[in-house]
Amino acid sequence: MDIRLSKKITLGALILVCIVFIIFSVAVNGYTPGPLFKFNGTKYKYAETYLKPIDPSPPDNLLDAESQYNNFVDSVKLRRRIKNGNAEQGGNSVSWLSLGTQADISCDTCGSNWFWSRVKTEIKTGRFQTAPVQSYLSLLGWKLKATAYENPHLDSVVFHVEHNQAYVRKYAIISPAVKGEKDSVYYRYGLIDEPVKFHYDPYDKSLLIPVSKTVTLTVSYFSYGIALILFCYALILIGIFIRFVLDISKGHVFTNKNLRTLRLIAITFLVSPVVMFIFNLLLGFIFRSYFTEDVVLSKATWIEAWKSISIGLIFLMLYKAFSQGKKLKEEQEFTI
Amino acid sequence: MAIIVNLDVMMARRKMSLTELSEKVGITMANLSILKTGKAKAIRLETLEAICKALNCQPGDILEYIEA
Repeated sequence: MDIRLSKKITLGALILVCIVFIIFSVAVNGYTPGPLFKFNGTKYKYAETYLKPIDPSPPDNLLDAESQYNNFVDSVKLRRRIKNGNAEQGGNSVSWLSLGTQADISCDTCGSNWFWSRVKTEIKTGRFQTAPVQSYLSLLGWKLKATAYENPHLDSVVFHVEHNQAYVRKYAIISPAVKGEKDSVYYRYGLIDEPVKFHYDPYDKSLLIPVSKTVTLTVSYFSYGIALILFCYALILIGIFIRFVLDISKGHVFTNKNLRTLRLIAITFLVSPVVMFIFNLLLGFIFRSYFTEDVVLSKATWIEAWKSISIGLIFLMLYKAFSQGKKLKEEQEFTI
Repeated sequence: MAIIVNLDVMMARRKMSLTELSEKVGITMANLSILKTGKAKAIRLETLEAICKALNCQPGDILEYIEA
Protein backbone atom coordinates (compact mmCIF):
# COMPACT_ATOMS: atom_id res chain seq x y z
CA MET A 1 0.00 0.00 0.00
CA ASP A 2 1.16 3.56 -0.70
CA ILE A 3 2.78 5.09 2.40
CA ARG A 4 0.95 8.43 1.93
CA LEU A 5 -2.37 6.62 1.70
CA SER A 6 -1.64 4.57 4.82
CA LYS A 7 -0.68 7.77 6.69
CA LYS A 8 -3.96 9.35 5.61
CA ILE A 9 -5.87 6.26 6.78
CA THR A 10 -4.08 6.34 10.18
CA LEU A 11 -4.80 10.08 10.58
CA GLY A 12 -8.41 9.56 9.57
CA ALA A 13 -8.74 6.70 12.07
CA LEU A 14 -7.28 8.89 14.85
CA ILE A 15 -9.72 11.75 14.09
CA LEU A 16 -12.61 9.24 14.05
CA VAL A 17 -11.53 7.82 17.43
CA CYS A 18 -11.38 11.38 18.88
CA ILE A 19 -14.89 12.21 17.58
CA VAL A 20 -16.30 8.94 18.95
CA PHE A 21 -14.58 9.62 22.31
CA ILE A 22 -16.10 13.13 22.54
CA ILE A 23 -19.60 11.85 21.64
CA PHE A 24 -19.24 9.01 24.14
CA SER A 25 -18.05 11.38 26.92
CA VAL A 26 -20.96 13.72 26.34
CA ALA A 27 -23.40 10.80 26.26
CA VAL A 28 -22.01 9.30 29.49
CA ASN A 29 -21.54 12.48 31.51
CA GLY A 30 -24.68 14.14 30.23
CA TYR A 31 -25.03 17.55 28.72
CA THR A 32 -27.28 19.96 30.55
CA PRO A 33 -27.63 23.24 28.76
CA GLY A 34 -28.80 26.10 30.92
CA PRO A 35 -29.32 29.80 30.36
CA LEU A 36 -26.28 31.95 31.19
CA PHE A 37 -26.93 34.99 33.32
CA LYS A 38 -24.47 37.76 34.07
CA PHE A 39 -24.48 39.30 37.51
CA ASN A 40 -21.83 41.88 38.43
CA GLY A 41 -19.69 40.52 35.63
CA THR A 42 -19.80 36.95 37.05
CA LYS A 43 -21.29 34.19 34.92
CA TYR A 44 -24.03 32.00 36.42
CA LYS A 45 -25.19 28.94 34.60
CA TYR A 46 -28.68 28.56 36.08
CA ALA A 47 -31.26 31.19 36.77
CA GLU A 48 -32.76 31.56 40.23
CA THR A 49 -36.48 31.27 40.60
CA TYR A 50 -38.64 33.50 42.81
CA LEU A 51 -41.79 31.44 42.58
CA LYS A 52 -43.25 30.16 45.84
CA PRO A 53 -42.40 26.50 46.63
CA ILE A 54 -44.90 23.88 45.42
CA ASP A 55 -45.09 22.16 48.82
CA PRO A 56 -44.56 23.87 52.20
CA SER A 57 -41.01 23.65 53.58
CA PRO A 58 -40.50 21.87 56.91
CA PRO A 59 -40.27 24.22 59.93
CA ASP A 60 -36.74 25.21 61.00
CA ASN A 61 -36.95 23.41 64.35
CA LEU A 62 -37.61 20.14 62.50
CA LEU A 63 -34.57 20.75 60.27
CA ASP A 64 -32.54 21.33 63.44
CA ALA A 65 -33.82 18.03 64.83
CA GLU A 66 -32.93 16.26 61.57
CA SER A 67 -29.49 17.85 61.61
CA GLN A 68 -28.99 16.78 65.24
CA TYR A 69 -30.09 13.25 64.40
CA ASN A 70 -27.71 13.08 61.40
CA ASN A 71 -24.85 14.46 63.52
CA PHE A 72 -25.53 11.82 66.16
CA VAL A 73 -25.61 9.01 63.57
CA ASP A 74 -22.38 10.31 62.01
CA SER A 75 -20.67 10.55 65.39
CA VAL A 76 -21.70 6.97 66.27
CA LYS A 77 -20.44 5.72 62.90
CA LEU A 78 -17.15 7.64 63.26
CA ARG A 79 -16.65 6.34 66.81
CA ARG A 80 -17.18 2.79 65.54
CA ARG A 81 -14.68 3.37 62.70
CA ILE A 82 -12.05 4.62 65.16
CA LYS A 83 -12.79 1.75 67.55
CA ASN A 84 -12.63 -0.82 64.75
CA GLY A 85 -9.45 0.73 63.41
CA ASN A 86 -10.98 1.82 60.11
CA ALA A 87 -10.27 5.56 60.32
CA GLU A 88 -7.65 5.46 57.63
CA GLN A 89 -4.47 7.46 57.99
CA GLY A 90 -2.59 6.34 54.90
CA GLY A 91 -1.26 3.44 52.90
CA ASN A 92 -1.03 2.10 49.42
CA SER A 93 -2.16 -0.89 47.46
CA VAL A 94 -1.53 -2.63 44.16
CA SER A 95 -5.06 -3.70 43.29
CA TRP A 96 -3.83 -6.15 40.65
CA LEU A 97 -1.90 -8.01 43.35
CA SER A 98 -4.77 -7.69 45.87
CA LEU A 99 -2.21 -6.64 48.43
CA GLY A 100 -1.73 -3.34 50.16
CA THR A 101 -0.74 -1.64 53.36
CA GLN A 102 -2.82 0.49 55.65
CA ALA A 103 -2.21 2.56 58.76
CA ASP A 104 -5.38 3.32 60.72
CA ILE A 105 -6.20 5.13 63.92
CA SER A 106 -6.95 2.44 66.45
CA CYS A 107 -8.32 3.79 69.71
CA ASP A 108 -10.83 2.16 72.01
CA THR A 109 -11.70 5.23 74.05
CA CYS A 110 -11.48 7.95 71.39
CA GLY A 111 -14.78 9.43 70.22
CA SER A 112 -15.90 11.67 67.38
CA ASN A 113 -15.23 14.86 69.43
CA TRP A 114 -11.60 13.80 69.90
CA PHE A 115 -11.32 13.12 66.16
CA TRP A 116 -12.74 16.47 65.04
CA SER A 117 -10.76 18.47 67.60
CA ARG A 118 -7.66 16.72 66.28
CA VAL A 119 -8.58 17.63 62.68
CA LYS A 120 -9.24 21.25 63.71
CA THR A 121 -5.82 21.43 65.43
CA GLU A 122 -4.19 20.02 62.29
CA ILE A 123 -5.87 22.68 60.11
CA LYS A 124 -5.05 25.44 62.59
CA THR A 125 -1.39 24.55 63.16
CA GLY A 126 -0.74 22.96 59.76
CA ARG A 127 1.02 20.11 61.55
CA PHE A 128 0.15 16.44 61.47
CA GLN A 129 -1.06 15.29 64.88
CA THR A 130 0.21 11.93 66.08
CA ALA A 131 -2.45 9.44 67.05
CA PRO A 132 -2.50 5.80 68.17
CA VAL A 133 -1.97 4.09 64.81
CA GLN A 134 -1.98 0.41 63.91
CA SER A 135 -0.28 -0.80 60.71
CA TYR A 136 -1.99 -3.46 58.63
CA LEU A 137 -1.45 -5.54 55.55
CA SER A 138 -4.68 -5.36 53.57
CA LEU A 139 -5.67 -8.47 51.66
CA LEU A 140 -8.11 -7.17 49.05
CA GLY A 141 -8.89 -10.65 47.74
CA TRP A 142 -10.21 -11.96 51.04
CA LYS A 143 -13.31 -10.83 52.88
CA LEU A 144 -15.76 -11.86 55.55
CA LYS A 145 -18.53 -14.24 54.48
CA ALA A 146 -21.32 -11.67 54.61
CA THR A 147 -21.63 -8.38 56.37
CA ALA A 148 -25.29 -7.61 56.70
CA TYR A 149 -24.97 -4.93 59.36
CA GLU A 150 -28.59 -3.83 59.34
CA ASN A 151 -30.43 -7.10 58.70
CA PRO A 152 -28.27 -9.90 60.06
CA HIS A 153 -29.26 -13.39 58.96
CA LEU A 154 -27.90 -16.81 59.85
CA ASP A 155 -24.87 -16.52 57.55
CA SER A 156 -24.02 -12.92 58.32
CA VAL A 157 -20.86 -12.00 60.18
CA VAL A 158 -20.24 -8.57 61.67
CA PHE A 159 -16.77 -7.39 62.61
CA HIS A 160 -16.25 -5.14 65.62
CA VAL A 161 -13.58 -4.26 68.17
CA GLU A 162 -14.13 -3.95 71.90
CA HIS A 163 -11.30 -3.08 74.36
CA ASN A 164 -8.73 -3.51 71.56
CA GLN A 165 -9.85 -7.11 70.91
CA ALA A 166 -11.32 -7.90 67.48
CA TYR A 167 -14.48 -10.01 67.32
CA VAL A 168 -16.86 -11.31 64.71
CA ARG A 169 -20.49 -11.37 65.77
CA LYS A 170 -22.32 -14.27 64.16
CA TYR A 171 -25.00 -16.86 64.67
CA ALA A 172 -23.79 -20.15 66.10
CA ILE A 173 -25.13 -23.20 67.96
CA ILE A 174 -25.32 -22.20 71.62
CA SER A 175 -26.90 -25.30 73.14
CA PRO A 176 -26.38 -29.05 72.75
CA ALA A 177 -28.67 -30.96 70.39
CA VAL A 178 -32.15 -31.65 71.70
CA LYS A 179 -34.10 -34.63 70.43
CA GLY A 180 -37.51 -33.80 69.06
CA GLU A 181 -40.38 -35.82 67.64
CA LYS A 182 -39.68 -38.70 65.21
CA ASP A 183 -35.88 -38.71 65.66
CA SER A 184 -35.58 -35.05 64.68
CA VAL A 185 -32.82 -33.04 66.35
CA TYR A 186 -33.06 -29.39 67.34
CA TYR A 187 -30.25 -26.93 67.80
CA ARG A 188 -30.52 -23.58 69.44
CA TYR A 189 -28.88 -20.77 67.52
CA GLY A 190 -27.82 -17.47 69.00
CA LEU A 191 -25.53 -14.54 68.39
CA ILE A 192 -22.01 -14.96 69.74
CA ASP A 193 -18.86 -12.82 69.69
CA GLU A 194 -15.95 -14.90 68.46
CA PRO A 195 -12.48 -13.39 69.05
CA VAL A 196 -10.36 -13.17 65.89
CA LYS A 197 -6.77 -12.20 65.12
CA PHE A 198 -7.52 -10.19 61.98
CA HIS A 199 -9.21 -6.83 61.47
CA TYR A 200 -11.67 -5.97 58.72
CA ASP A 201 -12.32 -2.96 56.54
CA PRO A 202 -16.03 -3.04 55.58
CA TYR A 203 -15.61 -0.06 53.22
CA ASP A 204 -12.89 -1.62 51.03
CA LYS A 205 -14.13 -5.13 51.92
CA SER A 206 -10.61 -6.28 52.66
CA LEU A 207 -9.08 -8.31 55.43
CA LEU A 208 -6.53 -6.49 57.57
CA ILE A 209 -3.64 -8.33 59.17
CA PRO A 210 -2.07 -6.36 62.05
CA VAL A 211 1.70 -6.15 61.49
CA SER A 212 4.61 -3.96 62.52
CA LYS A 213 5.52 -0.76 60.69
CA THR A 214 8.70 -2.40 59.33
CA VAL A 215 6.64 -5.12 57.62
CA THR A 216 4.31 -2.55 56.02
CA LEU A 217 7.34 -0.56 54.80
CA THR A 218 8.88 -3.69 53.26
CA VAL A 219 5.56 -4.62 51.61
CA SER A 220 5.17 -1.02 50.38
CA TYR A 221 8.56 -1.14 48.64
CA PHE A 222 7.69 -4.58 47.24
CA SER A 223 4.33 -3.22 45.98
CA TYR A 224 5.98 -0.16 44.41
CA GLY A 225 8.52 -2.44 42.71
CA ILE A 226 5.82 -4.73 41.35
CA ALA A 227 3.68 -1.74 40.30
CA LEU A 228 6.67 -0.26 38.44
CA ILE A 229 7.35 -3.57 36.65
CA LEU A 230 3.64 -3.91 35.76
CA PHE A 231 3.55 -0.32 34.52
CA CYS A 232 6.62 -0.90 32.30
CA TYR A 233 5.11 -4.15 31.02
CA ALA A 234 1.81 -2.36 30.25
CA LEU A 235 3.74 0.34 28.36
CA ILE A 236 5.59 -2.33 26.34
CA LEU A 237 2.26 -4.04 25.54
CA ILE A 238 0.72 -0.74 24.42
CA GLY A 239 3.83 -0.01 22.35
CA ILE A 240 3.82 -3.34 20.54
CA PHE A 241 0.05 -3.06 19.98
CA ILE A 242 0.51 0.37 18.33
CA ARG A 243 3.32 -1.13 16.20
CA PHE A 244 0.94 -3.97 15.27
CA VAL A 245 -1.75 -1.48 14.14
CA LEU A 246 0.83 0.54 12.15
CA ASP A 247 2.19 -2.64 10.51
CA ILE A 248 -1.32 -3.59 9.42
CA SER A 249 -1.91 -0.10 8.00
CA LYS A 250 1.34 -0.51 6.02
CA GLY A 251 0.10 -3.79 4.59
CA HIS A 252 2.33 -6.14 6.64
CA VAL A 253 -0.56 -8.19 8.02
CA PHE A 254 0.24 -11.88 8.32
CA THR A 255 3.77 -11.70 9.70
CA ASN A 256 5.51 -13.62 12.49
CA LYS A 257 5.98 -10.36 14.42
CA ASN A 258 2.23 -9.65 14.42
CA LEU A 259 1.49 -13.22 15.47
CA ARG A 260 3.92 -12.94 18.40
CA THR A 261 2.29 -9.63 19.44
CA LEU A 262 -1.22 -11.10 19.42
CA ARG A 263 -0.07 -14.22 21.29
CA LEU A 264 1.71 -12.14 23.96
CA ILE A 265 -1.34 -9.90 24.51
CA ALA A 266 -3.69 -12.92 24.64
CA ILE A 267 -1.46 -14.79 27.09
CA THR A 268 -1.10 -11.70 29.30
CA PHE A 269 -4.85 -11.17 29.56
CA LEU A 270 -5.57 -14.88 30.08
CA VAL A 271 -2.79 -15.60 32.55
CA SER A 272 -3.06 -12.45 34.72
CA PRO A 273 -6.30 -13.50 36.54
CA VAL A 274 -4.86 -16.97 37.13
CA VAL A 275 -1.68 -15.44 38.59
CA MET A 276 -3.84 -13.13 40.71
CA PHE A 277 -5.90 -16.08 41.96
CA ILE A 278 -2.77 -18.12 42.80
CA PHE A 279 -1.27 -15.08 44.54
CA ASN A 280 -4.45 -14.70 46.62
CA LEU A 281 -4.32 -18.38 47.56
CA LEU A 282 -0.65 -17.97 48.49
CA LEU A 283 -1.51 -15.00 50.71
CA GLY A 284 -4.26 -17.10 52.29
CA PHE A 285 -1.74 -19.88 52.91
CA ILE A 286 0.82 -17.49 54.44
CA PHE A 287 -1.71 -15.90 56.80
CA ARG A 288 -3.76 -19.06 57.41
CA SER A 289 -3.17 -18.79 61.18
CA TYR A 290 -5.14 -15.51 61.16
CA PHE A 291 -8.08 -16.85 59.15
CA THR A 292 -11.29 -18.35 60.48
CA GLU A 293 -14.07 -20.23 58.71
CA ASP A 294 -15.83 -16.90 58.12
CA VAL A 295 -13.11 -15.61 55.79
CA VAL A 296 -13.72 -16.32 52.10
CA LEU A 297 -12.22 -15.36 48.74
CA SER A 298 -13.81 -12.21 47.38
CA LYS A 299 -16.18 -12.56 44.42
CA ALA A 300 -14.95 -9.20 43.09
CA THR A 301 -11.73 -10.93 42.05
CA TRP A 302 -13.70 -13.13 39.66
CA ILE A 303 -15.85 -10.28 38.37
CA GLU A 304 -12.64 -8.46 37.40
CA ALA A 305 -11.18 -11.71 36.02
CA TRP A 306 -14.04 -12.17 33.54
CA LYS A 307 -13.20 -8.88 31.86
CA SER A 308 -9.57 -9.86 31.46
CA ILE A 309 -10.44 -13.38 30.26
CA SER A 310 -12.92 -11.99 27.70
CA ILE A 311 -10.28 -9.64 26.25
CA GLY A 312 -7.75 -12.48 26.29
CA LEU A 313 -10.16 -14.76 24.39
CA ILE A 314 -10.78 -12.07 21.76
CA PHE A 315 -7.02 -11.71 21.23
CA LEU A 316 -6.63 -15.49 21.18
CA MET A 317 -9.26 -15.72 18.43
CA LEU A 318 -7.45 -12.95 16.53
CA TYR A 319 -4.20 -14.89 16.94
CA LYS A 320 -5.83 -18.05 15.57
CA ALA A 321 -7.30 -16.12 12.62
CA PHE A 322 -3.97 -14.45 11.88
CA SER A 323 -2.03 -17.74 12.11
CA GLN A 324 -4.52 -19.28 9.65
CA GLY A 325 -4.07 -16.24 7.40
CA LYS A 326 -0.28 -16.60 7.61
CA LYS A 327 -0.58 -20.29 6.65
CA LEU A 328 -2.73 -19.46 3.60
CA LYS A 329 -0.35 -16.65 2.62
CA GLU A 330 2.68 -18.97 2.84
CA GLU A 331 0.85 -21.59 0.80
CA GLN A 332 0.09 -19.00 -1.84
CA GLU A 333 3.64 -17.63 -1.81
CA PHE A 334 5.27 -21.08 -2.02
CA THR A 335 3.05 -22.42 -4.75
CA ILE A 336 5.25 -22.57 -7.85
CA MET B 1 8.10 -33.36 3.99
CA ALA B 2 7.77 -36.90 2.56
CA ILE B 3 7.73 -35.64 -1.06
CA ILE B 4 11.30 -35.12 -2.32
CA VAL B 5 11.95 -32.85 -5.30
CA ASN B 6 14.73 -34.34 -7.47
CA LEU B 7 14.97 -31.36 -9.76
CA ASP B 8 18.74 -30.92 -9.22
CA VAL B 9 19.31 -34.60 -10.15
CA MET B 10 17.36 -34.26 -13.40
CA MET B 11 19.08 -30.95 -14.21
CA ALA B 12 22.49 -32.59 -13.69
CA ARG B 13 21.48 -35.53 -15.91
CA ARG B 14 20.37 -33.19 -18.68
CA LYS B 15 23.37 -30.92 -17.98
CA MET B 16 21.06 -27.92 -17.73
CA SER B 17 21.74 -24.84 -15.60
CA LEU B 18 19.16 -23.09 -13.39
CA THR B 19 19.19 -20.01 -15.62
CA GLU B 20 18.54 -22.07 -18.75
CA LEU B 21 15.71 -24.00 -17.11
CA SER B 22 14.08 -20.85 -15.78
CA GLU B 23 14.17 -19.34 -19.27
CA LYS B 24 12.67 -22.48 -20.81
CA VAL B 25 9.97 -22.99 -18.16
CA GLY B 26 9.14 -19.31 -17.82
CA ILE B 27 9.34 -18.97 -14.03
CA THR B 28 11.72 -16.83 -11.99
CA MET B 29 15.04 -18.08 -10.64
CA ALA B 30 13.83 -17.40 -7.09
CA ASN B 31 10.75 -19.65 -7.53
CA LEU B 32 12.82 -22.34 -9.21
CA SER B 33 15.28 -22.18 -6.32
CA ILE B 34 12.38 -22.58 -3.81
CA LEU B 35 11.28 -25.67 -5.75
CA LYS B 36 14.82 -27.07 -5.95
CA THR B 37 15.52 -26.64 -2.22
CA GLY B 38 12.24 -28.33 -1.26
CA LYS B 39 10.71 -25.23 0.40
CA ALA B 40 7.72 -25.21 -1.98
CA LYS B 41 4.31 -26.02 -0.47
CA ALA B 42 2.59 -26.83 -3.77
CA ILE B 43 3.31 -27.06 -7.50
CA ARG B 44 0.88 -26.14 -10.26
CA LEU B 45 0.21 -28.82 -12.92
CA GLU B 46 1.11 -26.35 -15.68
CA THR B 47 4.51 -25.66 -13.99
CA LEU B 48 5.13 -29.41 -13.69
CA GLU B 49 4.17 -29.85 -17.32
CA ALA B 50 6.58 -27.08 -18.41
CA ILE B 51 9.44 -28.56 -16.36
CA CYS B 52 8.81 -32.07 -17.72
CA LYS B 53 8.77 -30.63 -21.24
CA ALA B 54 12.04 -28.72 -20.68
CA LEU B 55 13.84 -31.64 -19.06
CA ASN B 56 12.21 -34.28 -21.26
CA CYS B 57 11.17 -36.45 -18.32
CA GLN B 58 8.15 -37.76 -16.39
CA PRO B 59 6.69 -36.14 -13.21
CA GLY B 60 7.89 -39.22 -11.28
CA ASP B 61 11.45 -38.40 -12.23
CA ILE B 62 11.17 -35.04 -10.47
CA LEU B 63 8.91 -35.92 -7.53
CA GLU B 64 9.56 -38.88 -5.24
CA TYR B 65 7.63 -40.11 -2.18
CA ILE B 66 9.69 -41.33 0.77
CA GLU B 67 7.89 -42.69 3.84
CA ALA B 68 8.90 -40.62 6.84
